[in-house]
Amino acid sequence: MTILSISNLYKTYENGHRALDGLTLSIQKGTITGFLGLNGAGKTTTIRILAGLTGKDSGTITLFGNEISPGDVASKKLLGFVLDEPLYFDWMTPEEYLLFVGVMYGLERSEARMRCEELIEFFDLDEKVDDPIATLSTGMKKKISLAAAVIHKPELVVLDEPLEGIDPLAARSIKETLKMTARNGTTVFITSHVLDTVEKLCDEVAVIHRGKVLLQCPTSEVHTKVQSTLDSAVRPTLEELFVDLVSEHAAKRPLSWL
Amino acid sequence: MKFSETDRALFKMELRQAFSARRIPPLACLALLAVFVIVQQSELPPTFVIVLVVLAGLESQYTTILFRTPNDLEALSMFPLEWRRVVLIKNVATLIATALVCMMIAMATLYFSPKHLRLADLGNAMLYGSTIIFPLLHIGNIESLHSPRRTSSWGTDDLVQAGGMLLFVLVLSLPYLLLVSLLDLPLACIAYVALTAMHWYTRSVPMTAARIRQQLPQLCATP
Repeated sequence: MTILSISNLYKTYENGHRALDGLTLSIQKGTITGFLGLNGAGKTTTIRILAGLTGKDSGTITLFGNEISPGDVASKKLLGFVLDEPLYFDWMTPEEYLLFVGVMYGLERSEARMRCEELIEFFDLDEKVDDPIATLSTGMKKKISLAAAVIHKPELVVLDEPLEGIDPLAARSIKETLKMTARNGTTVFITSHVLDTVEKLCDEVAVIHRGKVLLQCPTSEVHTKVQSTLDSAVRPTLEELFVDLVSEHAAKRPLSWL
Repeated sequence: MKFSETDRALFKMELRQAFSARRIPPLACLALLAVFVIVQQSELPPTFVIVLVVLAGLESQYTTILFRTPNDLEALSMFPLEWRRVVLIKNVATLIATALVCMMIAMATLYFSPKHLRLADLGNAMLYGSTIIFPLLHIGNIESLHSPRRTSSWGTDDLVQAGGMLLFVLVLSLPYLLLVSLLDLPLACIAYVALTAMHWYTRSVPMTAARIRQQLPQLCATP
């Protein structure tokens, strides 16, 4: 079942930069889909449009078959976001923030408190529970952001680079949460530069380059789909396949003086 | 109108932000300024000085409703909230914050005031405050969308905004001066207050909410 469908999405910024050039993508329910692309490929723009923070020029986005429109309250209840910028009210403590987010998503205060306590324990935030979020490490902030994105048990969690700038332990707990989330029927859509993680974590991958999806298929089929020029005697990693795929479209002239 | 758990949480957060640590030192300085002006310029009505000082101190509370913190708008827009409720709660919290700051600064300044405060003065001060407050909320809502500021402190831009706010206050004081001071028609002034309150509730709040919904991507692009 398709949970999210993006069709012919176009976006050109005021400075003339075309961020999305007819992006088309669909995400199946209960899967973890990795969204891969170089810096500036259009990943963050796609996610910000999904979140309603950036306007699109044209194209449609549907969630469970219903088109998402700006300010659509019903669709927001079904979504959880971890964006590439801190969105939290960082003067709050983690506990206050998670409780606040839970209540904002319409949970009863008692239910929100129960989930908040469980999330704090799960993400090992107990020691820092009384510190303002602003004083915490990047890894802690990412964990709080993820906890806030799942507290209302959304149908789809969208994460923009959740593993960037964090230590291996924090990364591990985030990956475990994403797997657990998917096992419980929540769909996960994640952008990441850590291709090794994407390969191990994701059921599907979509490769975006210059605002277009070049490839979308199950992770296990990437090897057969990409016409690799790599040495076929060794099974290439996703990173090698990714580089091979996008470098066809981003060939660079060598430096003449080096 | 029934307040939900969500409304209460949002209201509590607004009030906490209104009295955040960064607000206290400037408000304390303004309170001292008010005391100084009242003691030195005894011909000025203390209530007028108090209102001016409070509104200058709380200027950003009125004119930056979308950015209490730099990422406030984006954070709020993630939640399944009706913008009409959000604007209403932000405005009501501003009203209450204004009343609380007024009381605190009034206690400090009137203690030093050479003039004796009568009950009628207090009533007139409340009427005067009510005359300007709802139009100010309306102007603040418009200004928040027209010139959004992601951060507000005590820089040049902010002082200019505060100066602009005080000009608005002077203009908005005219109905009170006309109806109460000149014509001695306090009931007409009360009717005027009721009309401005009705306009704020039925027009300003929904109109602001509709514009936030329409202009959200542009507002989020505020540098």
